[in-house]
Amino acid sequence: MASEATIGTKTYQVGNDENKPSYRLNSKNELTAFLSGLNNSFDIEGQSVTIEANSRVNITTVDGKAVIEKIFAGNDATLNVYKGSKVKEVTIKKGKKIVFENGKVVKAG
Amino acid sequence: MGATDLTTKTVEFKCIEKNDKDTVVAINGSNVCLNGFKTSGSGAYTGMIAADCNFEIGGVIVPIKGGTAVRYNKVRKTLMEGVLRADLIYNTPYGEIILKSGSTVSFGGDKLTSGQLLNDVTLNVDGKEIQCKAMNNGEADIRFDNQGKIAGCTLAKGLTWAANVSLSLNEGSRLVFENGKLEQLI
Repeated sequence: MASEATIGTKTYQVGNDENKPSYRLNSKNELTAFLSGLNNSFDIEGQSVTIEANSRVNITTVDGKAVIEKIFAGNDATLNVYKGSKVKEVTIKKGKKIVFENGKVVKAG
Repeated sequence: MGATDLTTKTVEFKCIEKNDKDTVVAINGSNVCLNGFKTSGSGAYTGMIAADCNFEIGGVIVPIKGGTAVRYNKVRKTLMEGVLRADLIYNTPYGEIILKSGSTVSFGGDKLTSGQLLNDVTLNVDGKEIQCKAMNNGEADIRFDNQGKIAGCTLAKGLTWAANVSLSLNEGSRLVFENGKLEQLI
């Protein structure tokens, strides 16, 4: 029944499922996750990855601000994955998770 | 005899024709006759209460309808569940609610844990006004934990929830609280 959430400058459609929470908050009243609705996407290094509808989007709080930490891909994508000083190009399938840290992908697949 | 008003705590009523499974039990300080007495889970017992009865729970007189099923904790000797025979005004830490006559109410110790609302109600939770909806679907509209802290209700009116992100919530969103704090919106 919940509708939309604005994370940073982008507004996301929030899903509605009787068996899954639309939003999760922690005891500090910080958003920790939302259920993705339709037509959401996440921009990373110049490419847009759609977020799988009805999947959980994890949020973390950095300096008081909510940032997306994990999504599930709604389409196949090839991404640069950063591990320390190494960068590896990884192709992932729809439905696989993508984890972000400091604006970079640190885990994919 | 059973209760004849809505304000006097029932002291005792005995079983008129005592059958095998009829027994007088102490519940919240009232000795009442239960028909068809049987176990129902760990420490819990159920039975049909033989007559109208007013239990005193946490200082509130709770009017329970005769001939309906009640569930009680045999160890604590407290009512866990019963059917109201009149509307019940109940003061919660968040504001007054009215529970509907004929509906099931649940208690944990001396605290209300769930009930069906007669009307939509406005509660003040952590300084925020929340309108909880009377759903009229036969299920509990409002829930509390054993400490009396709100555990859940359904929004009667949309609102904006100010977390570290501003969340716009529509009417019908289900709010789930943990330890009195909003944890999930469904």
